[in-house]
Amino acid sequence: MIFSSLPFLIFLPIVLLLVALLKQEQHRRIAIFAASLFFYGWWDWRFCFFLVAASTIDYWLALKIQQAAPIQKRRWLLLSLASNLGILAAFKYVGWLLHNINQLTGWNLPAVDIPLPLGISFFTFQAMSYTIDVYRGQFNPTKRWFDFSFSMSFFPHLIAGPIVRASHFIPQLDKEHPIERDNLLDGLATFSKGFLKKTLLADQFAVCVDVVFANPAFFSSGTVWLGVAAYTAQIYYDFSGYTDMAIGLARMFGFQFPNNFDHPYLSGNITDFWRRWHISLSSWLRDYLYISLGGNRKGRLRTYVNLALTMLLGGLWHGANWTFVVWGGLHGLALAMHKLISERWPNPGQVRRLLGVPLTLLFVMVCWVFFRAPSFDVASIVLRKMAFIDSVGCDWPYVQALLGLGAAIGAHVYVAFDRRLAFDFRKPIFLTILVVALIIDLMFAPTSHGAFIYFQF
Amino acid sequence: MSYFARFAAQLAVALVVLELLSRVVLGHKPALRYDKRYDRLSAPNQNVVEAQEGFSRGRTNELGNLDSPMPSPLPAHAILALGDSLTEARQVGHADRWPERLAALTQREVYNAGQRGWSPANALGYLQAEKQRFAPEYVVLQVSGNDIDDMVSEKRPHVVEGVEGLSLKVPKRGKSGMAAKINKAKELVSRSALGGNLITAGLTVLGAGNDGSGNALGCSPPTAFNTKAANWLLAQIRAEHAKTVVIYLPLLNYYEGCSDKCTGAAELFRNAAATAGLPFVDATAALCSSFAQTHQPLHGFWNSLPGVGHLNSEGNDVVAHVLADYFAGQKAAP
Repeated sequence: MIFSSLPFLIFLPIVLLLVALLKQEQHRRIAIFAASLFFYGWWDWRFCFFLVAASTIDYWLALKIQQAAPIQKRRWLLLSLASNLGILAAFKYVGWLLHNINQLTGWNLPAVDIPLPLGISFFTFQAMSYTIDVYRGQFNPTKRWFDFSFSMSFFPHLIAGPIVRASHFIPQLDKEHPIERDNLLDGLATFSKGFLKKTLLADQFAVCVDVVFANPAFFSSGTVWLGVAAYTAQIYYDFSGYTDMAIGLARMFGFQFPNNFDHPYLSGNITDFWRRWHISLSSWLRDYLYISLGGNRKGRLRTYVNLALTMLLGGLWHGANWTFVVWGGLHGLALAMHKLISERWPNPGQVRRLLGVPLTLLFVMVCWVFFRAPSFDVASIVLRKMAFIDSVGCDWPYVQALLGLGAAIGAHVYVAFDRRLAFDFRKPIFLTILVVALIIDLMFAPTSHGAFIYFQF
Repeated sequence: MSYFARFAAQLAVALVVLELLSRVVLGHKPALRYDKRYDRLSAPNQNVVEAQEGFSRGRTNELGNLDSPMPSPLPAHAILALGDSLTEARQVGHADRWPERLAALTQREVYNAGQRGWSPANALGYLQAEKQRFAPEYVVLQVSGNDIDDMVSEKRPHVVEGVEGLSLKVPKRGKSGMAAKINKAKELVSRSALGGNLITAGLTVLGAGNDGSGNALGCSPPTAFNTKAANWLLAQIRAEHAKTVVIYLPLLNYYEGCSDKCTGAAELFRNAAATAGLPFVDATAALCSSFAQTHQPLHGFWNSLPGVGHLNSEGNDVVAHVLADYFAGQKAAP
């Protein structure tokens, strides 16, 4: 039941209506919790038990960390990390690890094909941030099991983030959250913006991307460039669209989620990019991995190594494939290089300022090739085509992708001049725009694309 | 003015703009009408805007064909082109369609009576009903792999086997009951270009997009009954019009060595044509040869998937040349 699907668009008003009809906060919470489990169970009901069990373990471990003597706190934290990383490894990486061992050694260890619970990478990271914050004394664990389970399973962020830390979400549970008109209108506006980003733009780009990455050798260099540009746009509109929908949904129920994107393709350098892209993940990696590795406190060389290592692991977090590791590694190297350059030449000159945005975007685009390609063979063909080696092939200037890219560039230029695009349903013109956009969407949106890219992580 | 009054007024203006845009650029499919002898036809004298694959604007003639008016009888040496959407070729402009190009190449009048969703079963019904009216010198019958399913599909005119052998059956279209009411409502809404587009889109979203009358270009492996049906159909067509040329247009897979997606379809129609004593022209080699030289698929458009769907302008050109070569050979033959 993805946010842009018909079942969800039926599910949502029913849940909103039910919650609006309930007078007591506790009843509203129970209704949302039940709806969240129903939402999660829509894919596979067995994973609901898994989700509740995983939440319960971290709830209990956080209390243990708080109650333990200082010397024992670390032990309970390690247990929490082992439990979360163990879950992640068992579901996500065991099969990949066995495959790699078989390839390296020539052994024939049996293949393991465990179904991956949706959103596992997101909720394990949320759980870890909770126990680490408690361990660091930055957050007092909640005494109420229901509150923690509610925060973990709240359906707007359950599947693909943003990674909402317990320290951000649980304090919101101290307030009552009746359904209010203003929240509903603002939430609906943000949700609509995300819905249109996904269905009008990302799904159109996906048509072009899927075809080009399925057969890159078939196409000319120009078309492969279009495919890579389309993927650059697709992943942004897909994921930021999803995030808008999640933020909008939370708002409808009276909750606030942190922002996850801040026009990352307008970044002037790679460090800036990671401050604007998937902010909830990059800040998580900074606070819980980079800083834990020593951050910049152990000398210059170690800082660069920590940066590269953090991004390498960040790449692996996205999926069990070496292409993700290379993607993360490239970003890590770039971050380290940028740190080195900006330390040596702290004041960027006119040229650096001028070329910063296009060069950063170009680098990000090249890295996306590894992120999107199913294998290094495919990535290598795409990169050769991008370098105009074997450039001959089918020219396919896919009109919808070109129009979408035009719209995306236009929107970014608009935003670059410090303007913001926002719906406000208090003005009828925005409702009219939404209806017209939905009609155009219905007429032209491809029906074969639905799932959000980040669901697989 | 209240919120909803303002919203309603703005929406009304927006819908009018969308309707106009649909009629000019976003797409306008003509309504359908049904003839009990050969089933569906586009309604006559209607504007057509194709925007899903390629782009073209045109108008159906008095018979519902996407061509200029057809005189009755046709001029001497005229060719009547029968086939499905690959012959109707609404995805390209009028001058780019293969029948029109064939006319230029052969200096003959060529009339395009192709209709989306037709199979040789419709063509047989059409010839039986209209042969006397037009009396062309040649009929060019276009067949493709998708006809294998279409000519035996109960949703369309199809071949059935009874105690007296094979015969043609045209499905009865609802003239009463709920089906008729739904059809009537669909027709009414389809008078608006926007309404027609929304019906199509809505049906697609609900998974009911192909009502059996559309132009889905897929195929199944031929069965023994397909062979029997094709043999019978082409024999009947030969009986109706002896100077019929069968042209086979493949649905090519350009990604895997330019092969026909419908394995066995060309063989099936080649054998059926040979059995019926009709000349058979296969455009596969010419299309693949063009692809090998240019790397550009002959199916698909800049606003649809490359190599998938209908013939583009270059594809229509290749087909026209293949047929022109055939007719030139006929002329040269003693």
